[in-house]
Amino acid sequence: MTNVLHQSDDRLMDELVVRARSEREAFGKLYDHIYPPIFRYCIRRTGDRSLAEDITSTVFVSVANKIATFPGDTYLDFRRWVFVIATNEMNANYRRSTRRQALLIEAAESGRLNTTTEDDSSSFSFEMDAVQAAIMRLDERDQAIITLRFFSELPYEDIGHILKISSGAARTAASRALDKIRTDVGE
Amino acid sequence: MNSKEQPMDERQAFDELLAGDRFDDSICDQHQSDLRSKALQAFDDTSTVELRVASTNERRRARLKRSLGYEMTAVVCLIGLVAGWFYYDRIREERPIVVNPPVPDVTITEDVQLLASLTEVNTFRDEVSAEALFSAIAMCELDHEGRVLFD
Repeated sequence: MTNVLHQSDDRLMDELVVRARSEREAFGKLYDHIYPPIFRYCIRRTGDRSLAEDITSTVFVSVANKIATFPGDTYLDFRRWVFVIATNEMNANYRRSTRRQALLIEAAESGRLNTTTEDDSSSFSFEMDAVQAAIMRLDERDQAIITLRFFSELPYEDIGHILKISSGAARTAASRALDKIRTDVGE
Repeated sequence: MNSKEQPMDERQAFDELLAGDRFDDSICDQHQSDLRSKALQAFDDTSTVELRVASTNERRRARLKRSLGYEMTAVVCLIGLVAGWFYYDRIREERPIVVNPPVPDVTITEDVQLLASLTEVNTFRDEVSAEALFSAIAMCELDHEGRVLFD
């Protein structure tokens, strides 16, 4: 009985995705459904609410602009597609902030910027849990894998699809990243 | 969502790590609502652009169709003209060349004389008549290159 209900829900969601290409109302419903996991993915990866909101906004405007040409037919395809857009946006932001950080350090070292440079963990201007801080010290791929797996709760198959790696590679990377976090928080 | 697929030890390990996690990842309703409006506006704008593009495409297609019609008509006319010209040329080649036929000049003196001689031979059947006939034939040969022009 539960299975039948699940299949029915899946079919409804698939229909919603097809209709959302041209119908405003369907797109709105799809947005209501996908916003929470995408926002949580963004905030867990950036660790910054304001930045996460900006990135989420960019993601959904992009989704709205491209939905008419979205190539899939199912909600599963749609969810993967939105996560790919969000991951790309987050990675771009990660690279921008890394570059900015490097420039700031360089400027401080050359005396052009009068500030003290400390280690990476102190670069966050807000209180953060040790685990969240440890996640943010991972490289961009591991950050994505841990966030997608343990906060968004996606299967490895989806994670592999989003990051363009095999599901086996995603599973191995998740395990290693988990060990790194454990070591980092001093467990 | 898919927590059933996660091995318990992996999930448990992470949950243990997160035990003291107080990181606030709650949804801000205001942001969700504002972004909804913004996304729907972007959706509307994109749809409008697509409609406009579709309309432009239709106009372009109609123009191409018209242009194709004109070109087809021009080509058909040209083919007709060329075919007509070839047909006319063939007909003209097949038409017999009319040259001026030799005018049977039966009224000339020699012929008249020959005819009279023949009549005379037939009438009198004598030597004089025969000589006159030979003489007429000789004259005809001389003047008409051997041709006897009357029937």
